[in-house]
Amino acid sequence: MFFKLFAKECGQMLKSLIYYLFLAAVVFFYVSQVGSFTTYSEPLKGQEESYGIKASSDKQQIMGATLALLAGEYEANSYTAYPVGFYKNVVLTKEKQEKIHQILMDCTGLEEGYTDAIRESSEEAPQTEDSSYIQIAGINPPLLPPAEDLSYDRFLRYMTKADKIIGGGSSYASDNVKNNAKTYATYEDAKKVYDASLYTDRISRGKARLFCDYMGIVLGLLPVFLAVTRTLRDKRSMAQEVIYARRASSVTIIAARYFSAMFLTIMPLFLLSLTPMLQCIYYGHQLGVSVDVLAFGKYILGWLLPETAFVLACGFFLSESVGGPAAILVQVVLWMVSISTGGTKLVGTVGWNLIPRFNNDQATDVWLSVFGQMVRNRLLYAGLALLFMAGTVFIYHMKRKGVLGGRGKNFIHRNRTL
Amino acid sequence: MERILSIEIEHFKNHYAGHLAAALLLSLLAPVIMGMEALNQYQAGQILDVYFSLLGIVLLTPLFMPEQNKDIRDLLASREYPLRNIQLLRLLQAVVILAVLNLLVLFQMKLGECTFPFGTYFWCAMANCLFLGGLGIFTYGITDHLVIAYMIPVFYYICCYGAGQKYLGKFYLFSLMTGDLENKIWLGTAGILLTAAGIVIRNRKK
Repeated sequence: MFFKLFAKECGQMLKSLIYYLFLAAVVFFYVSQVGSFTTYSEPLKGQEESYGIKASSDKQQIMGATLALLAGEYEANSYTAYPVGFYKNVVLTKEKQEKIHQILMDCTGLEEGYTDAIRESSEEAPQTEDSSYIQIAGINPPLLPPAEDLSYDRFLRYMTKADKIIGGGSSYASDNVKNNAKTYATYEDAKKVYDASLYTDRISRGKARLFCDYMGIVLGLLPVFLAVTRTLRDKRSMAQEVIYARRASSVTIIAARYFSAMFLTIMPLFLLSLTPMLQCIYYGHQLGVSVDVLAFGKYILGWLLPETAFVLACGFFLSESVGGPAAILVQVVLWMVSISTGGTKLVGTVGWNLIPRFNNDQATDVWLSVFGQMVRNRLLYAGLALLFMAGTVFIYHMKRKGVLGGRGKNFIHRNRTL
Repeated sequence: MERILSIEIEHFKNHYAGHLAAALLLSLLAPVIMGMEALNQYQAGQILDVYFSLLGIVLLTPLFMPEQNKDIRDLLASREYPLRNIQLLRLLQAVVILAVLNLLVLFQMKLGECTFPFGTYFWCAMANCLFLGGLGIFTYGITDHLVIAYMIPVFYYICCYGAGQKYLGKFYLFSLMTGDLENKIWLGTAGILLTAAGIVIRNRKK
């Protein structure tokens, strides 16, 4: 029964205009965003161009830069934060300012005069062969020296406290602290990144991450339209009662609708990924690198499938229980909050976001550091999708029984079982 | 006048209260979600561009929803009072509500000591809303499908998040964030034209 219904649902969706609009939107987004294949440039010793910038690993520098930033914001009582991604200028009350002052005193040993104590970073910009300096804005920031007995762990605890006082999403959140001090990458750093892209990521994994990052943006929202359309179709064609009275169980009917929508949402992604995959294979062949040919498939299933499953389930649940426009509105707000969380940080923003960001086809070390978060995140959304679908089946069944929806009993063949 | 009032009240009571509630909730939640204190003109522009624009989709797009059912449409078409006029009255209600909510958000920002040109930003926000809403009304007019009518402006909005500026040119939505006001004239004009075209197309259909 299920497979018969599944095939029918797929056939229905393949005949609907909205599915083709969805496909057009996905393809347009792929073409405009992912674009052409870019090769990795191998760093050369003594090259004129910079090797790029990197987050500093020097704990003293991280502490100094963060404290200088905190002292500056404390003195102006104007803190920059991105609680849900949007810029927020936080002005603290007197008591909260006092708490920040206490943190600054504990971390620096100074009661006042922070501005005078801030000094410029001693690190110099790298020189090119003709002795000119390569300058990149925003790195080697001013430093406020931390107290001598301040350990890095204690410093992190203080900064977490400061972030909580500010309301979250500030430069003092434990994830953001290390980005406060940036420095110039060396040849060795750049070579390590290049090698990791070739031999750890085997080219295709990095490209698959970038693919999923972009496609995740549209899949975090557009599938809800398929779910809402499917739910409203019965109402539109006034076929609800006819379907309610059928022999098929509520689980079978809803599962067939859900899995067909999921199948037809995910399949085009596999097709779209064929081109970058073939490009990876060709590029790998040129460099003599063994490419992971299943990378795109694995990333689509692990990254995009739970996201799509959640968006569809949420769409089915809300449109069945509240109504189509409400489902769309809720998903739009959820999408906006997810896409904005993390502010300007586009690489390695995972947390519990529906739309994790990894807008870089390299940065293998960052990926490995957030991989655990990513697994937990995707499991959460897969679990929520199951819950929402169970809720949808329940509501649908209650409507069939006549308990919800203001109609009489609709069952002819089935009375109790779902 | 009595008839006009009656149409407006009935529409509001039976079809529009839910949309207004959603739009009001979004407007009141704006300071909680984004913060509206001490913003400069670009940051204030970001709130209007990225957040407030969505209200255009919420409030304007469902213009033809009351007569979504063909039978009701036929019934309304058989009445003496033209259906087009009823739609225009609904549109007026939506635009007035949109303007009131726009003022509400702008006053919230002013109370938060944000710096921005009040009048200019009011019209700029309205232009964005009219464009997205107009796109929805136009799509609704062509397809007679509410979900598609929501989908097209929402997708347009998503595109603006991506490489929109490059492809959308003068119709790029988030231009206040960069201080570009010229786009809003284009967006507002296009919004009015799309709305008008949507109503004409819808009423030509049998």
